[in-house]
Amino acid sequence: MRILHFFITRIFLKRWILVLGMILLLFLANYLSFSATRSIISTAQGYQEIETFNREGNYIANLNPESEADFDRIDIKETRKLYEYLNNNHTYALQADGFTTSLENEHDMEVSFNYINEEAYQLNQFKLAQGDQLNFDYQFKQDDIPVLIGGGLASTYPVGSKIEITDPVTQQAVDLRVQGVLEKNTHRSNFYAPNSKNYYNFSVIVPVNEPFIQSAGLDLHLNGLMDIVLLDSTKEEATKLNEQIQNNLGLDFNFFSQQENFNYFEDYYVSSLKMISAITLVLLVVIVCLATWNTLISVRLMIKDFTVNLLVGLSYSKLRTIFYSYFAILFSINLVILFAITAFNRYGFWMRKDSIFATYGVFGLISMDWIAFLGVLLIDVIIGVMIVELALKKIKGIPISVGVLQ
Amino acid sequence: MKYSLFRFNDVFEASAIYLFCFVSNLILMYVQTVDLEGSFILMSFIESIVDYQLIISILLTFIMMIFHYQFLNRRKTEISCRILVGDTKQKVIRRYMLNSLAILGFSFLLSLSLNFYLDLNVTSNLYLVLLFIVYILISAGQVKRE
Repeated sequence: MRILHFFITRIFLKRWILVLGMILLLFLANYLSFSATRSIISTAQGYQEIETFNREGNYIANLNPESEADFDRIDIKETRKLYEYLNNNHTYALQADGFTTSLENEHDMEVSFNYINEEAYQLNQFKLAQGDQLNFDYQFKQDDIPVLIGGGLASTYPVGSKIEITDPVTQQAVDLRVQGVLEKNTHRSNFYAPNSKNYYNFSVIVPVNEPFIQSAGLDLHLNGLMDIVLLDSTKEEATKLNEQIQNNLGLDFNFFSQQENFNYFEDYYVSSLKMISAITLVLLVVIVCLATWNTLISVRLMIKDFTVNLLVGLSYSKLRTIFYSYFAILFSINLVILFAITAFNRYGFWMRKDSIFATYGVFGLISMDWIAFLGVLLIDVIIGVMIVELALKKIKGIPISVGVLQ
Repeated sequence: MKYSLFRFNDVFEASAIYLFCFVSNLILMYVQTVDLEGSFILMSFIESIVDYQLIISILLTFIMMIFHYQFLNRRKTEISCRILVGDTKQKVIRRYMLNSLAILGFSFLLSLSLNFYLDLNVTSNLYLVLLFIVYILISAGQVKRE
């Protein structure tokens, strides 16, 4: 320990500029690995979520990106007719997120109302921290609507409590009854941007049934249609529905089958992940080359100190231990900085009252962050071993007598 | 480069570092102009890097600081010898600064070709040039003999 202290204070820190340079380079490597690992984990989570919908006989709607959509000319009567057709002829999963409203809560967060029908709810299988699962057989305008709430609202609205509010999609005063509380950090990934997740910590999950949909406004109708999933259907039925949508609303949708979706998402996700991995690898190689250059310079400038110590009895194995300890300290400093930045970013969502991204966890970090830190640690070990072994090889290559004379 | 402290290897090394800093800065700027709407996954990953373009570019210039530091440390004996045979410290410093500025100017002009190729503003790297000039001025104060 004393020898390590001596090396750090009397040899390495004497040329602090090289130490600082090494910390900066290693930090860039750590930040890059962290971002890449988190992107990969997040995409994998998104892929798992889409797999719950992408089953044989299911057709996921997708607004044809090449078609021209004129939403202004769409009338509520037409969308109501379309949902009537859907109810009579299809089984479908509907989920529409992001209808924000102000609802008093202890964190003063804007609350997001998310609407879900029974089929989508069965597929999602939300895990609850308290209370019971939703039921969809309530009488709209007569009964209280049973809802699930996010973990951030649980203290203000415990299970069984009533919420009186004007519903953002029906614009009617409704009574909501809290049926259950979602597990903290329950989220939903966007199929096309799985990196961006909507967290339900400050959300209210409202079950929708046929009368509710018919009373809802155009926003819910159109929003719900964008990600609608036809269940136990056939290509012909999906094509027929697309014709209905085109005739009524003038919108052109693609209804992709399981295989088509599998090919599309597989191709899209895998090619994106390949690109991320390739970019990360190239940048890491560049950074490691620079770190190696910095190490070789350090060895060149510090060789006299090293060889003098070797001359007076320091063994190469002891020197190796000193180098590993020194790099362990540098990596620890970087990990602490990275940890502080990540925690600050997560905390930033709370400060900005960004309810969709506010998450719970130790220092605000979620499981994805911790796994990414493990990934960074692994990459650090690899980089550390490479640099230390190279530095020792260089030192061993210089005879002690030559080094002392420098 | 008569009587210069710089050897061919040093000129090559310094030019490579300058070019590396200029090219990284230009690539980070260029990526922001590329349309990646087709892939949100890739876009959000690249955004997590290019959002810090300025910080990353400035951090990378620190490599040049390291170069100046190690270069002048290795040349201490040579500077002593030069002064011993009649050279003066002022002249050594002046030559060092002029040579460093020449390498910087050459690398900047070379990086301009990438500016034109990527269709980016020619002033994109100017702030880095100013930073490098500051480094040269600081390092000039470190020209010392053994």
